[in-house]
Amino acid sequence: MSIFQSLFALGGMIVACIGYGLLTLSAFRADQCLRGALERVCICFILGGGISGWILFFPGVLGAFSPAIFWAVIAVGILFFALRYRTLCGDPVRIRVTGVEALLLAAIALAAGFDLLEGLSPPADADTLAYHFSLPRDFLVDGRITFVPRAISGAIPLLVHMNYAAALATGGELTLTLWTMVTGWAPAILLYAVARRHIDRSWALALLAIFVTTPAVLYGGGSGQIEIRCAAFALATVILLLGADRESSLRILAIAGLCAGFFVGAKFYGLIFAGAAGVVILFHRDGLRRCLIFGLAITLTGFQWYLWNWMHTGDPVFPMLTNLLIFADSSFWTREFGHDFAQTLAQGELYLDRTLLNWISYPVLSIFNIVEQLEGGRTGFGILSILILPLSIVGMFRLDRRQRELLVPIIIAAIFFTVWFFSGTAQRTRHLLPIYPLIILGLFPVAAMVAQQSRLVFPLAAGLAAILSIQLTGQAVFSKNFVEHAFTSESRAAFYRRNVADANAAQWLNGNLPAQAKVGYMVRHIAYLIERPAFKIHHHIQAVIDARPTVTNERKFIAQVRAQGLTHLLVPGDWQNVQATPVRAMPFFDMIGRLIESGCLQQQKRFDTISIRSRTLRQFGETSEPQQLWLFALNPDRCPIERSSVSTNFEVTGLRL
Amino acid sequence: MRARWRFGWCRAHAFQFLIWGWVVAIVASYLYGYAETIRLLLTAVLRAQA
Repeated sequence: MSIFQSLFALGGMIVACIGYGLLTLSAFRADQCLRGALERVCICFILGGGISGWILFFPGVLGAFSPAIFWAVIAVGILFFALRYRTLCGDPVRIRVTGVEALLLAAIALAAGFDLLEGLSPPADADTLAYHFSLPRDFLVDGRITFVPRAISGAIPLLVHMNYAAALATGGELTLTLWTMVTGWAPAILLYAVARRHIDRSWALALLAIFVTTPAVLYGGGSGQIEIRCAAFALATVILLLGADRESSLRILAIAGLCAGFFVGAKFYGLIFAGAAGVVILFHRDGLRRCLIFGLAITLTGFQWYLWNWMHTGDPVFPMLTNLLIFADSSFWTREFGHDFAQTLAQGELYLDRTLLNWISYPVLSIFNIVEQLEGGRTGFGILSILILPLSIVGMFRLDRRQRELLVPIIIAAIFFTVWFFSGTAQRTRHLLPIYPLIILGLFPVAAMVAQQSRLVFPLAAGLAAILSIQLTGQAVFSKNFVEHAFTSESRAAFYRRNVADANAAQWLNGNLPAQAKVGYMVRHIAYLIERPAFKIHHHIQAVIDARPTVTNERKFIAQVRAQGLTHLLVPGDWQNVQATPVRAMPFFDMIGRLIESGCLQQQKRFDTISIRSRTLRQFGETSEPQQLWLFALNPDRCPIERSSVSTNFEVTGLRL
Repeated sequence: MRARWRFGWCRAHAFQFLIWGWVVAIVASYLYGYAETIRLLLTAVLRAQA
């Protein structure tokens, strides 16, 4: 696709989303509920993004996932925009920019420039390649949404991914990467617009500059990660909740519910957020009625993916209820596998015991990177919140009645964090990104007001300048990769060889596998790069082909591999000397070794690659270990046969995992 | 008189001192947490210059 078409599609999607947002505000007769043109544009864009993702679910499940449908949805949105755009306009304002503001604007422009370069580069983030972009791509190839019986990255809410599919179908990969950039900026600009209600432009610009350079935002904003887009839904929900309270409007409350529903439809954590917001609403004097309206709106926009999961697994939040209620074994999940899944999750993701002390100390442990596994360093929130905390606490006691609404986002965020922490879910800091803008919205304006009242502007400004300098430096380091790609004649393939481990294997498979081949692979981050029929054999989140480290039954394994129609396997490890390869210390790979020795798996090609811990720091000399991948062809004549298992395996031979 | 002036000045600025101390401590602690990364970056920059 040409650059022109990509940019046209991107522009069309942005305008269409604003159009759908305008339609919603108009339908609920809430056009004038928001102050300022910028606030209205942002809320409309976020609302519209949710609506377009919601709409696209239906053609997806009905098997009508074609570019024509996506263009039609965009065209309708543009039509609504054309009909309603006048309601966006605010009063003309003459702006005089001070020296400090000019400096801050320059910093924001620099950050935007770096983000743009990332948007112009191919996607390289591991999760993005593993499922955020590969799932929509696969749906487009199939022409429909297919159920993926895989925990965490398959049978999940995919509302945001529907827009990824639209971007990919209408404008190609460039539209998709630029779309993530644009949607990554949406919560930041909304945060600025809302902060402006309470503080001067200089403070609000400082907030914007710091927010967009926050490590977690840099990490998730330009990639396919969902959290930053959920942050937009969460922030819009809270702003609309406050608006509903101010205007005593149930209509605005319903729109807030729609927004919360989009968060529910985008990520399981949306359920926690919806609950937290519901608790706050319940304490209103008309709480029950308000909760009912809010809940109905959430159900309307958030139900799709839970129904989809329930229809296929009997578990709307697969595999949580399956494990909790110990569902009977099925072809895609067993009780034994579920037990191992829970154990692996606990070992790999729960670094802190769920105690009151750890709950209180989590922010400190994360912000200062004391427990590295929380990933609060390079993908964390930086120090803004803790730096302004003393001023914010002092300010909380000085708030007037109108300003007390700033406590609402903090209360919702606190409830979310508490449930999140004690629920036993993954403890990585970046998963809290959806509520981070709420914390900042509650703390920052209060701190700025106290600083002005108590002659503390200079220390606060110095602290903010230090944060911005550190974070901009971090962004420059992070963006070096993209600068190098943008300003040299580096090809896409070369970019991938430099940034994504095992990309060379995917490139070879695309060009050299026989026409009828279907490959099973175990390294998840090449899913998006493989353009041939393929199946992801993940070792602990799917059981269709059971590849847990403890699996030793080669008959069952081969039966499952054949049930999926695989002809080739891409296996990690150096299999040059099959008897002595170190990976055979693991029972699963010892089984693979036996299959090679028996001739069932025939060596085809060896790929020399490297492990990349951080693609950013690797450019600055961080060591990377050499590793190998081997491609094997399946020789059914020499494979062990399990008499009864093939027919009982998951009956989706064209399944893509 | 002078002692009273000093006490008054200190009391008026105590909160400012506290906040300055807090800001410096937080920024320094944060940078300390990144020490290994900063060392890596500085080494790379120095190596590039050499």
